[in-house]
Amino acid sequence: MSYDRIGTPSHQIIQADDEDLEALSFSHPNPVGSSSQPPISPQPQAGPSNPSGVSGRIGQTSQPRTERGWGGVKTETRYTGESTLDEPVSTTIMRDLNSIYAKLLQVLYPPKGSGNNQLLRDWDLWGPLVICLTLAIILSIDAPQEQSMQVFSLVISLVTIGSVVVTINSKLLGGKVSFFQSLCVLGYALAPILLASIISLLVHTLFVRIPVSLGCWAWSVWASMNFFTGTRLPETRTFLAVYPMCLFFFVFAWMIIIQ
Amino acid sequence: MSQGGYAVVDVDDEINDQGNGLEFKTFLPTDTHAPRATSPSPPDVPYSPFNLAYYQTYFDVETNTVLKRVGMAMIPRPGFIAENCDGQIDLYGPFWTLTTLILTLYITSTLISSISQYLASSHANSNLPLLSTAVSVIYFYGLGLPALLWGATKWLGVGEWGVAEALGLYGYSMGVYIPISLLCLVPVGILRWVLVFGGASSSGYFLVQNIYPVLASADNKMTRLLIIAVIALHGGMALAIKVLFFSNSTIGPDPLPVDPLF
Repeated sequence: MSYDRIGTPSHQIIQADDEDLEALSFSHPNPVGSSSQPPISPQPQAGPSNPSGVSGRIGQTSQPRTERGWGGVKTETRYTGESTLDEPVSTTIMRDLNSIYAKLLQVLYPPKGSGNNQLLRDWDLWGPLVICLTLAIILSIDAPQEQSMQVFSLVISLVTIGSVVVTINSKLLGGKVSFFQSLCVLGYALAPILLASIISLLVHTLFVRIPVSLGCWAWSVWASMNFFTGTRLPETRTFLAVYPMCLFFFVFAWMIIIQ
Repeated sequence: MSQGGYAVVDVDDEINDQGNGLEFKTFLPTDTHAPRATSPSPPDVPYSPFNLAYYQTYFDVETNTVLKRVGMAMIPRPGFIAENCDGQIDLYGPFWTLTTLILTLYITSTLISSISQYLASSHANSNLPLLSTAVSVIYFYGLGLPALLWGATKWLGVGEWGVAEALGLYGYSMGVYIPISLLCLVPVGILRWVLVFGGASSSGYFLVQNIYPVLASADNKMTRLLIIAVIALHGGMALAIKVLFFSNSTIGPDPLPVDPLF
């Protein structure tokens, strides 16, 4: 459990560099020095002409080059800087857990001034799944006995359908956002709500629950707004994209209050 | 993520891309590219139910426009689409009006029952079924019924309106119930009946004023009888809201006490 390296950007998390994406130049792969040390800024890889000579080239033959057509599927192959073929399973799992933790930190407490969203471009749905399941379990424990199954299924379906609807809404309004990335951010932004549900499970006083739930609701909305301001919606439409998110998180906050 | 040392990142297919296809991949607010038109003009986008860009024409609204339309829909007047929406209705307002109404109904009804249980000092239960009830009732009435109505008029040969107009009129007409359900927190039985009845007549009058011209434009005179179904279903809807969400814990005389269904 070594979380001490997380705060620094020189972690193993894949970072994309927008300069290359902007200039459509995938032709200068960065030779990675040694595989023992995580690279500072891995570059998108061009294809079989990788001079680094490090193992782990399985993806290259199937996806030799980044597709450049306007239509069709666009994929990027990126080199993470070390071979993952012969590492222990614990390392793999810990790397994934570390990346979930780093994304959680990025969503909930974004470092000031840095070009955020870099980490989030490498979205995953494991973190949202864990958060959603934990929230459903905690709320169903808190619920009366005969309703716990109902609460569980309701929370799961609300999280799933709600985040999909919110994402589609912001795409329909013209926001430039990747579908799954937005799902990922909304799922991670549920974490304060999860915190509120844990607190209200332990403390049953109403005067503690209401401020904690409302505070965590505000935190969730703020965290997801941070991400969605990057979608470059026009100023006059920002509220239209934010309002559904407020509703989405408020359902859960209200459930926690009313339990 | 760690597939042979590579990460494959899928990016959504951008339909409305005209110049720089990779532009949407950066989310930095400091991007210097000039913002393009966010909504396509209708002739550019071919009709397809699976094309997200097709629906963007119905979401081409701004905050003030939506707020103005929601406000104007509470005043029952004819010609809502022509006057307030400039002939082009949006679907953002109707959908989120319905969703807000669902949330408001859920919040107020659970608050009412929680307070009454607290006063009666009985064991509190969370009333979560109310949420699924609210979702099914409101979405069926606000989304399913106008689609059915539009299908019926289409079948009877009225070609004057699209399904978006029907959805929009019904969605905006339900907006008046949001303040009413907040006012229904006052635990006086007769006041709740008056409020719900007032909301029902206001939004029902709005619906009739806006739907009847469409029905009357048909050659077949029998089409106009559909307005009776619209009124009857609207009354049923108001009754359902009153019975399902605001039926218990009233102080004072309740002229028509109804048992809650669950």
